[in-house]
Amino acid sequence: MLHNFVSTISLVFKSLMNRRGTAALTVASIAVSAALLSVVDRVRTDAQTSFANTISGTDLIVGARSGDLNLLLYSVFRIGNPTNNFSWESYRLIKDLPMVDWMIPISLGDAHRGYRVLGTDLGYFQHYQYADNRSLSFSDGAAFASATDAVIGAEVADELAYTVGQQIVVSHGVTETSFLTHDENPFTVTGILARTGTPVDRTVHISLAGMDLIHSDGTETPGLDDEPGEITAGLIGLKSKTSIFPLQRNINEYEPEALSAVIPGVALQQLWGLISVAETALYGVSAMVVLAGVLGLLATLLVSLNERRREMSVLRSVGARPGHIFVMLVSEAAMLALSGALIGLFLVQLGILLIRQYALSEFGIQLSIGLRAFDLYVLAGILVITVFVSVVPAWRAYRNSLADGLTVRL
Amino acid sequence: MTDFKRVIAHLVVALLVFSGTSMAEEPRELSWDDLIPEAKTIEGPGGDNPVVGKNWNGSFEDAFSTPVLPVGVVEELDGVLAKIPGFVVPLELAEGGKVKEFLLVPYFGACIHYPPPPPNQLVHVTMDEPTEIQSQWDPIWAIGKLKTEMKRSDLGSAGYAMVAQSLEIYEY
Repeated sequence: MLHNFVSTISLVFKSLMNRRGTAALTVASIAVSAALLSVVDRVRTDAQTSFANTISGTDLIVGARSGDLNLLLYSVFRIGNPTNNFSWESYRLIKDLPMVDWMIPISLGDAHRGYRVLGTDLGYFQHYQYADNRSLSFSDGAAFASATDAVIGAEVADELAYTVGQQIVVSHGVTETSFLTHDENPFTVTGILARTGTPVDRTVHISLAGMDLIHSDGTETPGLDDEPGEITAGLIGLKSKTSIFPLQRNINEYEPEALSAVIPGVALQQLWGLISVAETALYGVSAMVVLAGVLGLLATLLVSLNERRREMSVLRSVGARPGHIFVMLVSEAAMLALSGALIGLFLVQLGILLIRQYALSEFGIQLSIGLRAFDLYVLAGILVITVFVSVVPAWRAYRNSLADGLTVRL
Repeated sequence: MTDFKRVIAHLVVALLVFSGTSMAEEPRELSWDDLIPEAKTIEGPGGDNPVVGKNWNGSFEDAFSTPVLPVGVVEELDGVLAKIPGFVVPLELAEGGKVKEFLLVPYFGACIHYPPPPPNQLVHVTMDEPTEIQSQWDPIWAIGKLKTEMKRSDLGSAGYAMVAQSLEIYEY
């Protein structure tokens, strides 16, 4: 039985090698379709993981009145631009409420060579958390001690080759090039943060006083604890989760100023909901591509049957029964599909290895390497569908070999 | 007579054991009204949980005043394996966007026409395993051990927590 199986497989393999051109193309089309489906799933889950990992332990985000998503995107992911600032008085009022454990001020709007500059206070390094309640840590240096100090993220340090002590200049606006630079007020890098895999890596942090300094005429240097007039957003940690709703409501209805408070998890889920339409479309298209690949395989097999009548006759003459011919064709299809899917999944791993760094620095998405359950489903799915549809050519070959016997009338 | 008594005693023990084991296996279905202790409301400043911001009268402090609320928790529910229906307000998300920690609320969280739920009308749920939750608008059953939380001896902020073993889709 086993011997029989092995000899069938080796026969199939030899037959395929004889037609290696078309076989390779068929394998390639299956490989591409498997790779596409695997990539779509991987990018989806990895993107969601990256987004979910960026913020942790923050109960509410406060900003000027805007939409939930907007506020989340610009305050935490540095995507898009803030609509407006809000006053320092409101910030102090909320920060000093009895249910508030901590509040981090955030001031945005400027850049250093394409990297966003974020004004904050020392509480940021203490309370900001990412990925499962992990806190920020310094790989070199320490937090700012004066208004002209800066703390940079790991990627800023790597890309621009900055070390502690480097003098940097902040420019107005958020693009790489700006024609308004505040070069009369250079900042000194005092600390470099350890890599987090979040937008923090691509951020230059300065104090709120420093933020004010680059927007003043620069005649006098303020102290580190000088209070700014306004900030862009605030991240709040509460003593008890039960205060989330009442505080959110109060902030949203706060009359002296139009403010919005969002729960980060809720806004993230809104984001999933928004992109799930596109995701479903992508999955659908990829599934169709897989189907097209398998149909291509079916067509190739069917076309090849006629020119292989002589091959079948030879096999019959050495003792193969029509049943053997049937099994041979099904295993041929399975072999093509299996090698195609395996090559496709391997290509995905290779591709991720190649674009990993780019995806991280350009989109902030950390792509993971390694097989997943979904990849195995893809593999099994393609195999099952192929075996299923290969019954058609196998049946044809079976009938042919019954009719032809040992002599082929071509 | 003694035989009769013994039979009764056996029956009672059997009944107790039976009901005991069935309680350990079957979670107790709770409604949101079950979570409110009887006749416990406070007036005036609600401690750490002031509600309603419409009463703005020009001072920062008064912006965070509060209405009458049912407060406190039903202590007997501490440790009960419960099954509570509600909506999910996600707090912490894990890999692949799965929900790890959320607030279970009796009505959909973003209803802005109604005051936010008081502390004893929400359950802070931590999942054993991060779980995918399809939609915030679809109610679920949360099943797990309930824990009453009394923080800083403040009645106004007492609430419930749960470590959920599983979630089930709520069918209307």
